[in-house]
Amino acid sequence: MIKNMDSSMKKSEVIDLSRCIEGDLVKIVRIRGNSLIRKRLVEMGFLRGRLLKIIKYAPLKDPVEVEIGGSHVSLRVCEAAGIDVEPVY
Amino acid sequence: MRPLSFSHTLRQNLKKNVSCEKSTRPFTVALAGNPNCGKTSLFNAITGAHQHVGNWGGVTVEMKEGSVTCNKDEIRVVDLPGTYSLTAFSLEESVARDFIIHEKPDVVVNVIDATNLERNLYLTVQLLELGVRPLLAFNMWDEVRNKQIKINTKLLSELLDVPIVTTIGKNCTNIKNLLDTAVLMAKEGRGKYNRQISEFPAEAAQVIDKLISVPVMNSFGVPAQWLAIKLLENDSEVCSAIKEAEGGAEVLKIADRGRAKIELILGEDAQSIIAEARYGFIAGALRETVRKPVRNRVEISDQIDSFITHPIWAFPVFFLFMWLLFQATFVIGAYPQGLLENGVEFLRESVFHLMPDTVLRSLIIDGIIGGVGGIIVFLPNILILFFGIAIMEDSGYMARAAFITDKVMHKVGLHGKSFIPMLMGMGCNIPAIMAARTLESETDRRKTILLAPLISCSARLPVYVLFAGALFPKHAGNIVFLFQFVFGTLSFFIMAYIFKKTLFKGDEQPFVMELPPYRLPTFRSVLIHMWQRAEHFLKKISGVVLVFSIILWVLSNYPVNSEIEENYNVKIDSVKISTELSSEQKESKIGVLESEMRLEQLKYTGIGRIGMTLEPFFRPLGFKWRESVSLLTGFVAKEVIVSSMGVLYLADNSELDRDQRLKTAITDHFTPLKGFAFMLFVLLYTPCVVALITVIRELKSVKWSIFSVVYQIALAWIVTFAVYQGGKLIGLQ
Repeated sequence: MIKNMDSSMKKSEVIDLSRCIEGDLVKIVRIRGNSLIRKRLVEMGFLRGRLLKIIKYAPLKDPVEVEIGGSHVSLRVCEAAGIDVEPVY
Repeated sequence: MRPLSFSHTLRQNLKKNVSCEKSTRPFTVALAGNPNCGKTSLFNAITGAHQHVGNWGGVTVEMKEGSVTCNKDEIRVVDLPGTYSLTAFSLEESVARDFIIHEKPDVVVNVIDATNLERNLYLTVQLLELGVRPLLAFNMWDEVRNKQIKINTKLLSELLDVPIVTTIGKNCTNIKNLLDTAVLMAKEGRGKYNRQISEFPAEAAQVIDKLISVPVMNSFGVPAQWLAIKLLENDSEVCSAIKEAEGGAEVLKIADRGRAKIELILGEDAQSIIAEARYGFIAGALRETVRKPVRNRVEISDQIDSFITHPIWAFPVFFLFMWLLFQATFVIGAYPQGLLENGVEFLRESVFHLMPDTVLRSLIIDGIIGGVGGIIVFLPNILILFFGIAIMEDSGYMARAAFITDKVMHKVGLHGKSFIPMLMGMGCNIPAIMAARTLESETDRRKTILLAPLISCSARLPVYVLFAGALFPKHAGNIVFLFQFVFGTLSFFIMAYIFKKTLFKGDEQPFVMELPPYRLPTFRSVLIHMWQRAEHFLKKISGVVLVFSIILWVLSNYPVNSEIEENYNVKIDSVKISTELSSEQKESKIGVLESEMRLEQLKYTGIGRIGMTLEPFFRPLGFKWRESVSLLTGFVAKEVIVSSMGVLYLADNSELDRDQRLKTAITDHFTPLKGFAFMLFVLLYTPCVVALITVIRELKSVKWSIFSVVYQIALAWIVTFAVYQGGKLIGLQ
């Protein structure tokens, strides 16, 4: 509940994916980062407007597992930091 | 009446007569697909045991090749590397793409995980752009049914204008149908795909049209449209190919301006715009043809994951699996290893009794049988390790293992999957180096192969036990533990960090990795995987090792100076006939003379000479010729250092109290500091010849192989020098 309130306050605020917490549902706004990582992300379907769910962080808090288009993908936190997202409910 | 789907028409044709013709050359069928789409299991289902690792010049990416006969037609099947895309950003993608463009396979079978059509069809769209009409194998069809996903393959086949066959790779369902369709397509010729595919936004479409209108774009034998798209994507290989062509500079200029314009107007780089258009095309095709049930239950895979990657349980589970893998590989593996050793020993003795005492017998027994024996004893380890790795990979656990260990490994520039080679190195470096194959990116694999030999393998243990027992009797256990587990791992991480900051600086590979759903591995695919590794080891590695073993055998036995033996025989005879000595005194005197003789003979051999020549190189480390020679013999296998020290240091050749006397000899010849330095050198310098050959074979690069040898010797020398001289400076003995 607290999480929801927190999210609603941040409405339409763009943050990077690495700042999201487990269970968040977000929409991709933009992919930054170096071309190699961005290319890999884009070809795996990380496109603007797409929904993305943060499944969990690894036990050592890096990498992070997200669900996109029905498949589970793990990203390093530094890679996730290159993805701008906005919260969705 | 609705038009029949393409695949249906094909099947109709097939029933008529086309398939009965006998072709003169085998058809080539290439399998393309995403990682985790079940491509390998489909490949196994098609080719069975008739497969081998293809030999592709200059390519370090492994491509498997197999053959199958279908209705008297010989089909050559090539398993391309698994890729998400066909843009030349990674070696795997270039290899797959080059094969399709240059080798022109008769049919490209695009294997698709039918439970995840959207992402899998992304590669398909790129094949279509390339003008290739692929045969789509909708694999994992059983999972599609279980998940109650409804796919209208007939309609989808019409929409895309490509044939679709549904398959289940793991139990070989519909493979015949797939092959029949492929053969039919091959016989009809390589139909070009000309349909309009993705619809690009006006700005991008304009640039593409402008690029296509340049004449030079049509001179590459690939569709101009495809080239234009690749130019917008800034594909390095296409850009450099065009740059070399006449008028290419102009084309590149148009592309550069186009990219800038697209980014300015559409607010996204061209690469993303193109990807969006492709995904848009796919979404359009799927909208009419796929019905997915609303997911209202937690999938089994998620349930397993809630435990396997649990914040607390993940590591205990991981270490349990690793412990099991290690124990199975090296403890259970020791039994078949023992049997093999006995077999080798039996062979050795048989030859010993059957052949006359000649140089040839000695060569066969020590050089060839000893060499082969030294290789095949690793086979059980390799088989068991790759059995375990295949299960972990096929079940989906490997990706999770990388997921939980990546943070630690990434700190030193490695990948989560480098953990397994590191761990296995503690048993034996050879399977560890081979296990680096599980890493997808070449850079990660190369780094792991370079670092794996630093982990202290179990063959180095006898050296530590001997030295620690002799020189540090009070702390022997701790010292052995430090060398066996701490120093090796520490040097692994330190060197990894140094590599990250120097040689591989900025060479960061994206980690972005799919976590596939858990699947039950099939026995068949695990066996095939295991057999492939064993075959690779026996075929690619053992031959070279055998040659080296023979060279080493020659060097350690030749040249022989018969004068030495004659001189000593005279002395020994004079002792024997002497009347002044008791028989006990005689025996001990003869023992001393015999070992003196062997020492003289060793000094005369190639290895002895090289060792003595190298003495100046080792002098700054505090080592004399004896140490130098023994380190050189350690090249055969590190435990050999202990036995050669017996020859080098013991004044008496008898077996009585040999271990104890060797320890005493070590105490006489080594100060604790010198002994410590010696142990360090043994830990760090180039591993045994089998490991070295494995490194060279797996690196597949002369440059990196030389680097691997040089850096390890340099590292060993520098560290030992620093410890020895530093220790002396602060007054240690």
